[in-house]
Amino acid sequence: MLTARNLARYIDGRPIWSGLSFSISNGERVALRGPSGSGKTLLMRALVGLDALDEGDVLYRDQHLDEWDIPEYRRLVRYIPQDAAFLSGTVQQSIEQFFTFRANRDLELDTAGLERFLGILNLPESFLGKTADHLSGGEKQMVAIMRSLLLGPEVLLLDEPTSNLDEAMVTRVEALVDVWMDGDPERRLVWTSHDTRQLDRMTTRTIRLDPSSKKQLVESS
Amino acid sequence: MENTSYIVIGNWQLALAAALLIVNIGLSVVLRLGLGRDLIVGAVRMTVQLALVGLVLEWIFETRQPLLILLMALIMAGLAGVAAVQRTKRRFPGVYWNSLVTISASAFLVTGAAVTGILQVDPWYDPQYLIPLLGMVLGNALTGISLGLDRMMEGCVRNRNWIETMLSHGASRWEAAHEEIRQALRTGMIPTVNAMMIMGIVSLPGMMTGQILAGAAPLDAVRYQMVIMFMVAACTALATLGVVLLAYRMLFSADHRLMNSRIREKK
Repeated sequence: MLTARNLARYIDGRPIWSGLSFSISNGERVALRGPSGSGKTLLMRALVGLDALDEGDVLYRDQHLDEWDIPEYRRLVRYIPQDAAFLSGTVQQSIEQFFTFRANRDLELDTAGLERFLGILNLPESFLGKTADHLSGGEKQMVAIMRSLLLGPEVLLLDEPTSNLDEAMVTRVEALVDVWMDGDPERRLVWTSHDTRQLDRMTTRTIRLDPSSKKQLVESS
Repeated sequence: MENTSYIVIGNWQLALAAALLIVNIGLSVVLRLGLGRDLIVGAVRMTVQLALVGLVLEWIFETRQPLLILLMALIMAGLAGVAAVQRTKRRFPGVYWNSLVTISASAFLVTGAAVTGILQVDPWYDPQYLIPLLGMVLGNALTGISLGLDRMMEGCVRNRNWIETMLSHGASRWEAAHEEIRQALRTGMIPTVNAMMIMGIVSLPGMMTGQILAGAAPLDAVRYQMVIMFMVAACTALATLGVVLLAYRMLFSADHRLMNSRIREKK
């Protein structure tokens, strides 16, 4: 269980969100909704400790974020930032690089899984040899998602994961995430998107960030 | 000192040398190149600064007070530390302290080792050796520090997305910062490495030239130059490493977060 208690974040003294509480159980698919500037990205970043919280606590497996070894925690609770591909080398190398981190030491790149993912995304094997400057924005997003899934997270926080993809590619990425979710009942995801129909398709529950009501959060099922 | 083996430069000779520049300034004015003002300001500053330093050094060389020499050394290190930061495009809190601490520690360590261990100057504070050696070492460490700092901050700003992607996939702050640290060190060391590569082929180093002009045998001057370059390389590497690691500790928090909000653009 990933639990947020009374989270608040202020920027220049103004609350972006405050009094925010929710928990995400195994198998859940949560949409994080709210207008632009309501702090969806900031909330995801705070949940993985990339930003500091001004108030409140994040707990995972009943353990406070401060008590976690942060790299270890981020291996399990995975935020995929927007525009998160890689800088140099090939797709394959950028994937392999992430397996060298100390926190991922005991993981091994599942080549069969990688091939399966490529199949679902309808990408040729030669895709793995491409360098960063030969990838489109959409292809980079697919690399980022494949790489994240291969590293075996338990919670996936996806921030506009298909913003640069055309319709056909969106369908494939959604299929890939579905396959991943079905792989283990303990997996769960949080998804933000400007495309509300995508959120309806991919999620079953909503956390809403509403900047107009200062006392935050309407939660609906 | 015994009689000098070099020609002492008088005021008239100085003026004649300055006249070399006046020709250029005249050309600049006639052709409206807009270079004249900068050249004049630069020439005047250089003259005044060097004249003052000459007076101070003359005084220190005469009194030979260890405390005074040490004070001079501290002031030199302080000025170098501040100048190193002033050349950077961005700042973070404590950057001046980082620079001062690293440049002083590395320059005193390397110069200290040189005068006591390698050259075995007696007394160790003999300003004839201590001051010029320290000056050479500081000047180069300054460049290393400012380039290293600049590259480190630039990298953290430009590659923020990538660094945070690594962090959010389980990289520790060290793993996420490693490439930026490597690049910053490399950048800081480039001028020193390049200088060593071409030394004696393309350029005759200033210190060596000075010694030869002052009557030293070229082979002796060359040996001094080698010692100096080893000192410069060691000190620049140490200073750049020190300042980049301190910057790393400031820009990557202990809970594995990139603290780009601490970086400010220079006003």
